[in-house]
Amino acid sequence: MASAADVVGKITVTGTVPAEKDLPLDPKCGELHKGAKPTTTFYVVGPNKELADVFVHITKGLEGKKFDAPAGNVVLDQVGCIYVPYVTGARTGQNIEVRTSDPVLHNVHPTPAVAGNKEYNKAQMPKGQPLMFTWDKPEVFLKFKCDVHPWMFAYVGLVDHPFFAVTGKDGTFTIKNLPDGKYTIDAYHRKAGKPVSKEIEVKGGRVTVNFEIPAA
Amino acid sequence: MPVVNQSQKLHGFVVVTALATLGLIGLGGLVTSHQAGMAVPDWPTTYGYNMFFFPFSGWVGGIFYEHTHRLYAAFIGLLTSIMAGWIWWRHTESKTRWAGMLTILMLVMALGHRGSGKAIREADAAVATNSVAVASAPAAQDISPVNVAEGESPASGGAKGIPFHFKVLAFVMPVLLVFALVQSYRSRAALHWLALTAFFAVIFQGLLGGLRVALYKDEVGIFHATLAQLFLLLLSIIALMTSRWWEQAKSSPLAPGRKLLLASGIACVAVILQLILGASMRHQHAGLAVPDFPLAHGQVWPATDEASLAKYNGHSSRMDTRDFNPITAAQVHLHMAHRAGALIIWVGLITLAIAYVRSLGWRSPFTRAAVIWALLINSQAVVGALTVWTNKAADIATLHVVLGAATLIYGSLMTFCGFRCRMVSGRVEVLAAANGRTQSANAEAMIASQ
Repeated sequence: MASAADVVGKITVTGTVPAEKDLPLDPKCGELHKGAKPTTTFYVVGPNKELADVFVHITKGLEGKKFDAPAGNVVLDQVGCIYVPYVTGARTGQNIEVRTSDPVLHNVHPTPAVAGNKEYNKAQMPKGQPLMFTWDKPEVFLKFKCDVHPWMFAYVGLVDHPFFAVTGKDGTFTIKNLPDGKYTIDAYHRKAGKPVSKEIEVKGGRVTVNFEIPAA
Repeated sequence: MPVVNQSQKLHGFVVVTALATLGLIGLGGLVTSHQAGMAVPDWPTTYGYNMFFFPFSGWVGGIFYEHTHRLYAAFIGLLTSIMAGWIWWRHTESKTRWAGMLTILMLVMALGHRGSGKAIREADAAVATNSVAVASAPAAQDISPVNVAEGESPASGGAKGIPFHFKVLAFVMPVLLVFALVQSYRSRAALHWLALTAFFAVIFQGLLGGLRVALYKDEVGIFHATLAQLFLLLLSIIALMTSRWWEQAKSSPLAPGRKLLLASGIACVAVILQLILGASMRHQHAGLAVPDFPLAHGQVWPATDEASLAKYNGHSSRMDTRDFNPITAAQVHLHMAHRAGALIIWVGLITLAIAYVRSLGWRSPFTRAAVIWALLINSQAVVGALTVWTNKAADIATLHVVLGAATLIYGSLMTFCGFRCRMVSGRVEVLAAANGRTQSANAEAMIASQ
């Protein structure tokens, strides 16, 4: 009987992490932060160099396998003229629901680069209805942006299987129920250059794989 | 009080239109510099509104630049329509006059028409919903949600939102534009055909701007930016041809000869090509593909292998709130081609100015004009360098676009003035030759009679 394993791990950053920049919020967006000055969040790093917002996914070893249709929507929200979360993952064919909690106008402009994934640009009124998007081709990363507020971005790792995760603030990730076999696993940080790959073998139980990603 | 006649009024109007168009190019530069080209997803509407009635409270962030650009462009369209009608009326007669005026009028009405009855009713309903919401909305929420189903947007990009007759016009206008250009050529640059060319060009330009938004095509943006420069050039030529100077131009020994004019013409073409390269850079987002100057990624010509590109993408200049896409080899080559073009033009215009000084001396106004042209290109080079050094600050990058257009217009007008002087002197020679033949024939007749 075939077994499966959880793949867990921690990602840390090496080298000097560049300083973040203050977001050039306009007055209306600035009011929503009540005096706070938000910055870019390219490198969210913990006290021991744990790196958040890294998209971890299986890139080889799943060829020819079919998976159940994805359930539920992946949600992106716009809060204080910032996309939350900044990085997330989704399946091909899965609904990506873009909400807005802001009392200001946004345009939701996903800009896929893979042929066959369609570009959209939709208005979203203040506290307007959520917008739904779906794509059929894998793409890591698919960028969402708002052209009204040029500092607003979100990145979605879009893959055609359920074996992916995004690291949290503690740098850890868990990919559940990966069937036995040999795989290539990639850790991709949006700003740190090319993905870092590792080979793993799953034979039931639990597999631990840690990554070190050099800051660009 | 000096009397201003119709010709002077017309000339003044064309000059104002051309200057206003230079302003529009600046606004277009601000749109791309602020990466706001897609801030209004729908076209020809603005967030579902008739663009002329979009609430002022919504003019924020990127919308401010894009919406202002659209409104100002409509104003330039109006000025150009008036100019074309004015010139056509003055320079044609009988059936031709009425056919041209009717064409202008019908096209203006077609652009003002908002589509089928159903489309209008739907648009009105959306505006009415918005207007009620706007009137009752709290201050922080000036623009309120339209009643739309979940997952739907009140306004989206895409070809679906474009009225059918706009799509037809997008195919018809290039044909009309080429037709008018051919007629301009065949009529030896008759003013009324040039004016009609400008009219067709401004409509096509507006449609291109809309299609760039609706179809998500950067390539259309490059064409839009290029046509903007050529449209301004055409308006400037019309302004020159409606001037008193053009009418009263005299042959002068201080005017440039054939070789100088040819060199000036080649320089103008080079500037146009450079502007196309610049437009490609802006619309392919290659402006910061090379973040240093005078070196390029620390080299004379940067390597574009995979390892080098990875290094460039890790450069601290990429840590920006604009979150640029990764640099590609094509972007680096495009950027470097623009720099190489700049160097060639810079050397070329300085050499040309020296040639004018040597050939015509400082007394010639053409020499002084050529020197000013060289100074302009120097300023443009400095602003180009500043664009890189300031990490493409929006105001500096926009100034670079405007100065580029000014460099083209200035040099082109100088060259056309030179051609005009030469043309007039050619006519004088022909007349002199004709007079000479007449006198000689009279003398022979007198001898014969004796």
